[in-house]
Amino acid sequence: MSGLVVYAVAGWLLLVGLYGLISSRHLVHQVLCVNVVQASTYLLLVGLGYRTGGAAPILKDVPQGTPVVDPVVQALVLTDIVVGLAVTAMLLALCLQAYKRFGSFHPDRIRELRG
Amino acid sequence: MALSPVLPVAVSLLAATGLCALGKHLSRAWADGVSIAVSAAVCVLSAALAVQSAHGRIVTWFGGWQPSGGLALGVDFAVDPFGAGTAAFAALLVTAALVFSVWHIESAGRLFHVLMLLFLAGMEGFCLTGDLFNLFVFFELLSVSTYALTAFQIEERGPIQGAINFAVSNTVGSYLLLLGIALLYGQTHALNLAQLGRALQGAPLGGTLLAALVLITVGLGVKAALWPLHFWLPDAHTVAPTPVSVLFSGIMVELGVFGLARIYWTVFAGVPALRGAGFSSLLIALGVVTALWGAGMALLEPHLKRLLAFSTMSHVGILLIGLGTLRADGLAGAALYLLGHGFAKAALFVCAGILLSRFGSVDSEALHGKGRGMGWTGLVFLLGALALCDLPPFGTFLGRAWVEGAAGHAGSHLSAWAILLASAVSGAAILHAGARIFLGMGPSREPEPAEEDLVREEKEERGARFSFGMPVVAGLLVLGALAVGVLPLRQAVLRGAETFADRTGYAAEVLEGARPLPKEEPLPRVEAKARAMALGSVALAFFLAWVGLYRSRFPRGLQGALDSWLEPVSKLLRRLQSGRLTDDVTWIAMGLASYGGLLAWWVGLG
Repeated sequence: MSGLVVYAVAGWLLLVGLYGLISSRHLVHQVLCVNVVQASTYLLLVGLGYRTGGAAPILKDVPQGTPVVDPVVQALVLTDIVVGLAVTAMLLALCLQAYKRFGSFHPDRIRELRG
Repeated sequence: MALSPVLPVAVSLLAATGLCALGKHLSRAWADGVSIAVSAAVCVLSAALAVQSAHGRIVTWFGGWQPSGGLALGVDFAVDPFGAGTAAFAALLVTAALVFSVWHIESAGRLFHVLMLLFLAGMEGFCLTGDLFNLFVFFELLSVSTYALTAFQIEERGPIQGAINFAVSNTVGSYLLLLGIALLYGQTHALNLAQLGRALQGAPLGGTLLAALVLITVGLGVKAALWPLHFWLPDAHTVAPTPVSVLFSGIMVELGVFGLARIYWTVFAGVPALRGAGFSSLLIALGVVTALWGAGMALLEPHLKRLLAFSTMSHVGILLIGLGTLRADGLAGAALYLLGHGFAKAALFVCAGILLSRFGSVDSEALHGKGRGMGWTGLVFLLGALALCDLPPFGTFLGRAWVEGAAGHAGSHLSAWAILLASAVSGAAILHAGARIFLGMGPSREPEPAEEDLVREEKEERGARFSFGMPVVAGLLVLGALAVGVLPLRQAVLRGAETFADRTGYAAEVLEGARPLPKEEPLPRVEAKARAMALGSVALAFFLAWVGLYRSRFPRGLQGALDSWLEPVSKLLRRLQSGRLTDDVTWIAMGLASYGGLLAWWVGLG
């Protein structure tokens, strides 16, 4: 049951993020929408590793056989967050430059290349 | 001596960080020298790995976490001749691009070299890794460095727009890939490619698996510029510094297809529903659409760098047809094609860079007749164009002949004709532009008052200066395209493809250290028909280029008929290429939905 909810919410975040990217009229807002798309990856990864009743995966001073949640996905999410940080910083820097050159954050004004 | 597969990645990463740290204290000459030496060394290392791995994969487990009982506990690099060969080719092109940039990019701060080496490290890791999540991380490393490289001319307007479109589209693609990886992990609890393949052996194609396949295909498909995920491609190519465009077209886009091939052959090939003709015909159809769309767009494009970018899309379509045959000989053909095309396209981009540094423009309309005195560059341009029409004995011809043969065996006889048409049309676009620029053929058009719809940025790379080294680089690259077809590489490439496509062998070798069985498939024969079809491409390309040049001399009735038919199509196609970020993402979302729908309907949910 909880598995289905995780899929559904992750899918919903993906769609909301994509919808925001498509409909938004502000570059910074669009970058945040990219982050929403990324949030779907966090949620899916953490959700997939969840075990009902599982403890945090710190295997020190716990008896053998204690159920814990999957530590692998948590490591993946950490890496994912770092990747996301780099990408977001890069995109925001580009947004700033775009504002300097085009004087606007509106995606329709930032059109030097067409056709 | 056994080489460590980690070396190519480690060397380029260390050099990049070193250059970054020492940046201010190094002169430009030192930065050039060090980065060229490092990328050349990485090329030699990867080539040595390719040779050594011909007798069996070289597997390294980081931190000594050896697999136990068929379970991968750590992250591995698993080097096979194809992976290492692609890595060596990438490093070779980076070396050529860096040599070219010595003259071409005057204002390059040290950061340019740092970014190029990071890009290289990403590509090396992407080719050599044996772990799916690790593959994603290297994919991101190479992607983020290319976003920065695209926007390198940050004081111009075009590069900002191109880089934003490129970065957002590709980031969305990356996250789709990651979602696919997460779904695979959820189903199999594995990230190691070998273990994933074992876990999915004989699995039914359920909803989760199908979703994972679609997400991974679309995620890598954005990078590979498959239709309709390609709209970022021309913008990024137009505005990136030319040495970077060399790498975008020569290897980066192709790595998307390489990634698809790697994941298909190690992970998905054991799923019975994905072995059959249904999945194969779907991939081939996608390749055909991509090839023809790119070729058509190239024909409409006067801006040389954009034209070459669309031509790349067209040739990637042909690579996808090779992969879509799901046969080792088709894969071998695609590999040869990748090498031949990469060399030829790199040479053509260097030619475009030469024009840019001389005249400050790459618009074939504005440059009419300007290249008359540039015999050597013109010759290289012609040879590159012919290589892209698949003229024997260029490497592209051999690759294409194998791809066509494999597609025939896979039951798709139409795809040979699609390849003929795509090569001819995109080749015609290049020949047409070359004839105008270097021979001054065709009518010289007055520069039209800048149409509102077709504004372009031409001011890039103002600091570039011409040097005689530049045509030499272009000449060597085009010789490379010839060498791929002439040197006795066929046996090695076919063996490499068989190893690459041997899923059970891969798993046994990675997880249990089993020695591979020698394979003895005969070389595919290149039949006279393939030769005739390639020559047909060349002839058709010359004919179309001639029509394009001398259309104004045709009788009025014929001209009118041509225009009334072509005008609406070309208007529509160019309108679709709107350069608007929101449109690019819309296309990706639509591509995601339609790939998913098509795959579910065509291959069927098992």
